[in-house]
Amino acid sequence: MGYYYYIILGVSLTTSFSAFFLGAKWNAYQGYLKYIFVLTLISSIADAINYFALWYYKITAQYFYQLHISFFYRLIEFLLLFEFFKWLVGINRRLVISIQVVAALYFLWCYPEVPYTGLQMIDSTPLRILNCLTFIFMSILALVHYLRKMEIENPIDDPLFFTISSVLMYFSGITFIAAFDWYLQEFDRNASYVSWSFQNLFVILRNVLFGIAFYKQSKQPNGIRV
Amino acid sequence: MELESDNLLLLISLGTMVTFFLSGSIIFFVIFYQKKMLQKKMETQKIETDYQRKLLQSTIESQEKERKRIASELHDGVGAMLSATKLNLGMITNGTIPKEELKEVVCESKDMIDETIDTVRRISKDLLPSSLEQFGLAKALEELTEKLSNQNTHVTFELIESKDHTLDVQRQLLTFRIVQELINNALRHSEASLVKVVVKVDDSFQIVVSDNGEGFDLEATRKDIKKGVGLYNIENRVSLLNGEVKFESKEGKGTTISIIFEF
Ligand SMILES: Nc1ncnc2c1ncn2[C@@H]1O[C@H](COP(=O)(O)OP(=O)(O)O)[C@@H](O)[C@H]1O
Ligand SMILES: [Mg+2]
Repeated sequence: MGYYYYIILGVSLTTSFSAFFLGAKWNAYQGYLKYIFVLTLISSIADAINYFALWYYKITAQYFYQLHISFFYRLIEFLLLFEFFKWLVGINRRLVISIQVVAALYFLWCYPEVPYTGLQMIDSTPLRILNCLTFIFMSILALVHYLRKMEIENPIDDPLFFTISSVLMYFSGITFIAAFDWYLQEFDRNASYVSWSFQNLFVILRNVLFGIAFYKQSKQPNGIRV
Repeated sequence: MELESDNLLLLISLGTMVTFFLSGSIIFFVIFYQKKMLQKKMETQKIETDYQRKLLQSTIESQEKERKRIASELHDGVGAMLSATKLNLGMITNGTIPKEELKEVVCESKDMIDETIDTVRRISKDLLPSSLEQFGLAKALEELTEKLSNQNTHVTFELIESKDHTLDVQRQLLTFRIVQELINNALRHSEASLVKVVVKVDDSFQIVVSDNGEGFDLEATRKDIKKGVGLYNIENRVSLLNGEVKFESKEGKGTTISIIFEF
């Protein structure tokens, strides 16, 4: 395990906190950015715990899973993002229903496994892939929805656009990592650090884009547009 | 072992790159598309405001023209006539007129007063056609076509009414003005021998004014700012009626203008 991992994780942590502090104008946001704001907070905390564990206990990647940090993080992430997208595309009933169907499938998928495998196995590879695909699908839907609403003038000035793009890029970036990380660990534990740092690069990208979204939001004249 | 994990890493990197690239292109597509739509929207908005401005200008211009016409008619017609009458009356009271001419001068003054009354009546009728208020649009249009018909150009009016509908006075007046301008245009510009006015009342209100004259190039006329504002006025009034206007004209083949609006 090289030092680069410390660096990447450190940058990821820094960007999480930066995004969080950029977004720390709670009262300015009613609606969707609150979910994202909470998400950056959770992400910062999870990253901090990871970093501390790595630095202090020299825990290897495999044990991170046993700490359940990534699982709980993903669960909260799912709930927050789901609320976010429900709010975002909730105007169209058909979209809400299809999202709810996906969510129901999500829970149907993990529920029967709990008694046999415990919490550890809920965080299974197919579930993680499904998680990624769900949010890729939702963010594309949100973009389509966004395109339909013509009143948005320039995407570059729109915090909502940055938020959706961030989610889309993040999840499409980590899909393959989520799919093969498990097998990679079976083969070669050290190689899984490489995929972990990949994932953290996307976390950094996501945090930067969230930070931009917060910044753009704070620049908007009357708080929230939507 | 080593090789397989390398392969796997390669697969992950490649797959990640591909999906990431795909998502990036979706995002760039959105940015690009939105920008283009925005540009288009701004262009159409500009065209619309230009058009609105021209319409407004035409309204103001035609109002001004109308005022000038009324002013000159009052001044030259009524004013001149009354001055002459006053002069006559002055001469009568002064006694400058010999006794034998007195009756003649009084008669002359009476004639002038009659003519003044006629002029005033005509002006007020132009301002608001009295038959419109008393007998409705159809009657007023019939009267108008009769009045404008002459030896060179025959103007006919036809009413096809399959449903009973009434228009409020405001819209009747708008319609009347439109037809008035259309007939005037045909008489002034087309050299036609026949101008037909057809009003059709069913689920909607339709007016068709056609002539068998020379016709004209609509686009060229629109572009030529020196030409009058009559056509703009028509479009303006039709838009007030929430209706649609269609110009059909070919040079040498006459002109047909149809207007349709809902009740
Ligand atoms: N029925 C018609 N036949 C031929 N030319 C016409 C007819 N109506 C309009 N035009 C042409 O369109 C031009 C614009 O008409 P209009 O806007 O009413 O202005 P104006 O009547 O004051 O000239 C006219 O100058 C004439 O050349
Ligand atoms: Mg005219």
